[in-house]
Amino acid sequence: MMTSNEPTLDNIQALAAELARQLEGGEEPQLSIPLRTISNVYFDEASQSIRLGNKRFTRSFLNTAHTRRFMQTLLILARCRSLLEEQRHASIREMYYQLKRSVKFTKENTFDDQKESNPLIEDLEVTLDVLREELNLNAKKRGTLYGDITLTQSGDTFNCAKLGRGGWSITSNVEDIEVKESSAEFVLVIETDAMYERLVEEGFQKKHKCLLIATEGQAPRGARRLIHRLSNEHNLPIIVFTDGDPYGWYIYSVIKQGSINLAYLSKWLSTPKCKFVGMTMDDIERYGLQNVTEVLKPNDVKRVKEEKKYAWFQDELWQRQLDMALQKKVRIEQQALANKSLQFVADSYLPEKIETEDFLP
Amino acid sequence: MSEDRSTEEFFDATFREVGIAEFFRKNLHMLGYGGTIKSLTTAVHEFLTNSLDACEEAGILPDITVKLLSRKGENHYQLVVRDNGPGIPIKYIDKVFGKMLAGTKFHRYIQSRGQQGIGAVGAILFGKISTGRPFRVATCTNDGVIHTLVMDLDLKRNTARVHETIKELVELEPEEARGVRIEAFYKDVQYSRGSTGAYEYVRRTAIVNPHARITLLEPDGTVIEFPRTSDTIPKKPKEIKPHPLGLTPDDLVQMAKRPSSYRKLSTVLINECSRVTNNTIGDLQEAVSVDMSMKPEVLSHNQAEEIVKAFRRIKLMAPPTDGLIPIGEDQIERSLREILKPNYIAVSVRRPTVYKGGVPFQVEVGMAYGGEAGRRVGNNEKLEVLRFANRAPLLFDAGGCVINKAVGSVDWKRYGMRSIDEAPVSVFVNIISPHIPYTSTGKQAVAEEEEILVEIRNALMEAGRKIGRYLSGRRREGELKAKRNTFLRYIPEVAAALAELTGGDEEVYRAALESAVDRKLQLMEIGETMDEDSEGSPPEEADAPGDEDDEEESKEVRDDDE
Repeated sequence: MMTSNEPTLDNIQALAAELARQLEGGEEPQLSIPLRTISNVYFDEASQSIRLGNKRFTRSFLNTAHTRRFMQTLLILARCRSLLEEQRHASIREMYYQLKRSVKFTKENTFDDQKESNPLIEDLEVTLDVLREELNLNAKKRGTLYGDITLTQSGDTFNCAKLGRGGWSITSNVEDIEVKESSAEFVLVIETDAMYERLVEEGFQKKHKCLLIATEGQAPRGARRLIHRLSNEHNLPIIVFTDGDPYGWYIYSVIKQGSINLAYLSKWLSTPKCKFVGMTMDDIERYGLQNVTEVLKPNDVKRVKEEKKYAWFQDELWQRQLDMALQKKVRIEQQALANKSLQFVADSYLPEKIETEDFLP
Repeated sequence: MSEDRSTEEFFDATFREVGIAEFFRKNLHMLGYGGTIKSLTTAVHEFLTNSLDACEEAGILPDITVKLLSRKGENHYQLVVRDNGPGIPIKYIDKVFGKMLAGTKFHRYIQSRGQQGIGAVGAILFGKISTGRPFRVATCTNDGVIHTLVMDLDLKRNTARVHETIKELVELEPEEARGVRIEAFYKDVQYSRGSTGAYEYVRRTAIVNPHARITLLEPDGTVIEFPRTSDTIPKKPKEIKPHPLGLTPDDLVQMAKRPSSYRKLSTVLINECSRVTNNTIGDLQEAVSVDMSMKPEVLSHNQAEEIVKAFRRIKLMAPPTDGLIPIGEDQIERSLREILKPNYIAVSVRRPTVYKGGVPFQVEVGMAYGGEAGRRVGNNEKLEVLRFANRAPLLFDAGGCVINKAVGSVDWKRYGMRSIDEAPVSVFVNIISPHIPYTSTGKQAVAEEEEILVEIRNALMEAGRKIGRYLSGRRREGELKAKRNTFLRYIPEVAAALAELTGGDEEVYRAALESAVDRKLQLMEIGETMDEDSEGSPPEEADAPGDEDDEEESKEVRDDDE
């Protein structure tokens, strides 16, 4: 990824030239952008991942519903170009702040919120067919890797079991990571920070020869790319451990098959070979957790029903989990296992399930 | 018998005939003199009406000045009304201004402002009672001699007493000297710009008389001119014979007894009523026991009643309506435009028709929207209803008037006016008829005759439809303007970004974007792409339900990247 900027600059130049041509030819200035919605993604059986379809939408300057975003898109495009020319990098938040000011001759802000600029950056990625990083943009790093693996990055070599309990903070761009050596036999991806810390304290990674990755909620791009690489390049089995609710299961599905919003990146980010260890609806009965479940709220129920319709949740084992959730109307958190004992998750729950390969696909 | 004699003595001592003028002196409210504001309005009304009628009859474009001077703090006013009319011949002057129930209009069946011949004398009477001061009249006919008279009323004899006459030959062109000037004094009255005040009366009079120039001098010295917007003097209303269905038995008796050369009742009916023919008489004869060949002067009230009832059973043509003179669409529009300066005007003049089967009438309606139309109450706009009967403004008793009932009966929401009461709208309604069915002798409200209500309502709806179309067009115009502003707002940014990207000229891009906006809006005006925005175009938002990704949090609330 740290290659020449030229191809990206060429793409930007071509897009700008097209807009200039439209204007000179008396056409309406507009951008044609691949549509990143559920209506334009499909589940590709062959690669077992969510892929982007061919639908595009038009963002026209001469449509009052689009005009402001058209202007914002051009501001971002121009700034990305100058970043590339200056060979500087910016975070997507810095980009937001660099561009945030008053629209010329008005009191209106160019951007009111970073929520306005982020999706436009994604639009540009998919339109220009480049990665965010190729536009010299980074996201905030999130997620942690812990365990016996030696990596190099920016000339540093380090072992991720020797960085203290906090482990290595996974950078937003992991293309420059190189794996030197590792004794790990599998990777356990954990949704919550608290569960990660529990397992570190119990010495789970040492006992079971594995790496721990905490995603801290929905897995960021860097973590997903790292998981993808550990699976594809290093053949490490990936086991995902989330809360037993529609959000936890969706975190798993994003790691495994990719997401709707970033379907154009599934090739880079998805890890179809990963497996799901828990929490499942069956765990509630099996481990006697009936008293520590939480009630599904109306929005949670709605989310379950949506997931039931997704092509990548059609496996009957997953349909069964979703049906059980609707039937029981409860959810179960990872940390509910502490109801048994603090070490229960490390000593019994995970070892038993992993040994018997009691996974969901 | 002594009792009888004492009764007789009592009668001798106290019984006397009461002159009509004396009667009204005790019943001034019947003439509209009640309340300080209303009294002054009525006085202005009487003189102004007389002046307008006189000019019209003589075929003169009216030029009338109404001047009010106040003695401060006393509610004491001097009213001067001067016109350029034909003047009054000197020998009639005491009758015109001294005698009630005398005049040129009362005995004719004709569309006119005044009818009863009470007006001017009433106004003078009220002045005399409130101040005791004599009034002053100056008149000049085409002979170029101005007679100025200081006069007083003789109530007992129902006539006027002239105190002083000044005869003055002037070296003026007849049209400059000609006319009447009346000067009277009033006490316990009040000038007001409110909805029932003299100002409003004059203003409304100006609206319905586009051929008149009226100048109002207010007590504080303000001069308000209501300009003439038409040089066409309204056609003289034709005197029309009453239609049988509009007659009462008494009307018929009076008609039959009037000295004439008619020998038979049938001839009277044929000649004095409209739409009565030999065939009608034949039909009538079959329906009544009264002999149609009888001598008219011996017709009894009972016989007349039988005939009037029979008229309702036989076939009669509707009365002729050509005696009605509307103001007309063109003049109403010009007049409303001049005086209300509205953004839009819709006028609807209905065809003449009849009520009660026999009384012709016609309705004309104008609606003015925006500008100075409507009333202002503080900062709020309110509906204004301008009511007229035979071109005379009706200021009082609005609640009981068929015009207000008609306005209230229309569903204005259908015409884009959600709340008509709060709309900047002036509704103008003029009812024309030789016999306006007033609710009372005050002549300030028109009775709710079904046919009149329906006609006004239809006219209002017709005008309302036009206003509705105007309003929806204006909304669209506003939308287009808002769209243009949205596009123009972002042009400088887009041009600058594009110039930065391509190295092109920012000014050139700006100009190109501006002309692209112009082209687009032209298309939108034609309506081709009006609905494109937001509904017609593909979704801009890339948010699918449950679409989550690295930057968007699923469960825990967390700051975005960095």
